Amino acid sequence: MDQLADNALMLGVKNGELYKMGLLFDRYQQPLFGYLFHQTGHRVESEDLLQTVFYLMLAKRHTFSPEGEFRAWMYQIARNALINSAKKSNRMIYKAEFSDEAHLADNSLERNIEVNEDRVQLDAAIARLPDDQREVLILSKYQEIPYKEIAQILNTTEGNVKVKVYRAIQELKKMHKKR
Amino acid sequence: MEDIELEIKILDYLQERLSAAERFELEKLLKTSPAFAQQFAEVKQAWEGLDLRKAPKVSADSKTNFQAMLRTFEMQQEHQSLISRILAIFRYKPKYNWAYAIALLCIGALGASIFFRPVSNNVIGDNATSEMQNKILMTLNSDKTIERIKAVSYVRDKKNVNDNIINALLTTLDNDPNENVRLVTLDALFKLADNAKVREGLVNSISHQHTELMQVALADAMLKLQEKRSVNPLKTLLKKQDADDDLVKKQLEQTVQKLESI
Repeated sequence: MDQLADNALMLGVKNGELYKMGLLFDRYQQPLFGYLFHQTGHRVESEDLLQTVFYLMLAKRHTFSPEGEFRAWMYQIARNALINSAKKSNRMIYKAEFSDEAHLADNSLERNIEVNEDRVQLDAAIARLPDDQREVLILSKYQEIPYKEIAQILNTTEGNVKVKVYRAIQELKKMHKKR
Repeated sequence: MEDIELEIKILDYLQERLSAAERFELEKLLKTSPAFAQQFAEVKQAWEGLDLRKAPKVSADSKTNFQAMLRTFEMQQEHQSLISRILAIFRYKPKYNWAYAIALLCIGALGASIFFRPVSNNVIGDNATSEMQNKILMTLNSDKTIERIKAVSYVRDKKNVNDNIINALLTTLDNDPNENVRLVTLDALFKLADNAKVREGLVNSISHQHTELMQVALADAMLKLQEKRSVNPLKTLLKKQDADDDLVKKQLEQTVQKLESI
């Protein structure tokens, strides 16, 4: 992604050119939905949260600083939206309700059952991870965000992010060893 | 190299984030160290195993929902912008309504002192010449805004005015096309509020005001005069308020509440 272009678009939004948020939506709806989906494990809720995050970006556009990185700012807003949503419904962020047919490959029944079993195990392993480890894993693996930027999003150090990724990987390794 | 550092390096390798030199070093270690090769395989399995959990595609409705949200947001912003412009005036109401009116009156008074002959005993009416009265009434009907303001300014300085002038001022308050003239007129009539006819006229004028500025200015005047008769017309005004005009509505509601509690 062209960070400069993102910042320029968001700066336009901040200065009243609200339509430019549409371009950012086109660019980030899928990655952001992916982040929300991996965090919640729930498709419908993630779709709702996606709209909430873009609404919040519009409402909080005055807090955007062009010196910072748009993506980091966006994920910070998404994170807060997730936390607030979980607080409101008085539950953990991660609900582990993965049941999307999208994950079932167009293979044989046996293969699908096997894949499904693997996924159930993976879900269980992900669900066992502490929230902070799950979060860095999602940002690093699925969002492909560098550690330095993850640190910025989470307001922590790059070293701390690496430690969390490392610990999360150790848990997943344990899961694979048990199989 | 510590375990954590090594595994992060493996992850960087898997995500193609290593430089050519680092990649070469890691691949060399893979070939020469079976222990590292085992560690590499385990990390790779854990990392790539996560691919099973790739997120589905966002629904086709997502963009439509976003566009609807954006349109709603834009409309809200436009509305709030209008409200804040009105409130920017109201926020400085003590300064604006009266100070601005005073500023206009000063201009008017200066003009009036030239235009009208001074009346020695501060009274227009019984003691004023009919010629002067006619001149004021005629000027209140002038096409020029500044002339009408001059006439109101002249009257404003007088302690007593006769019914003809009061009627003319009340007509100006209700019907003048210029909001500034109506605002200055309100100020002039407010000073004459000891007169029962004026108070009654001010109450009746509430239903004639169509701009939010004048509605709120009149409500404010009613509160200062503690004029309870204004409660009903203010309530009628409230019913006519656009539901979206929350801030103006709130101000009127507060005025009604305060007047009812007197």
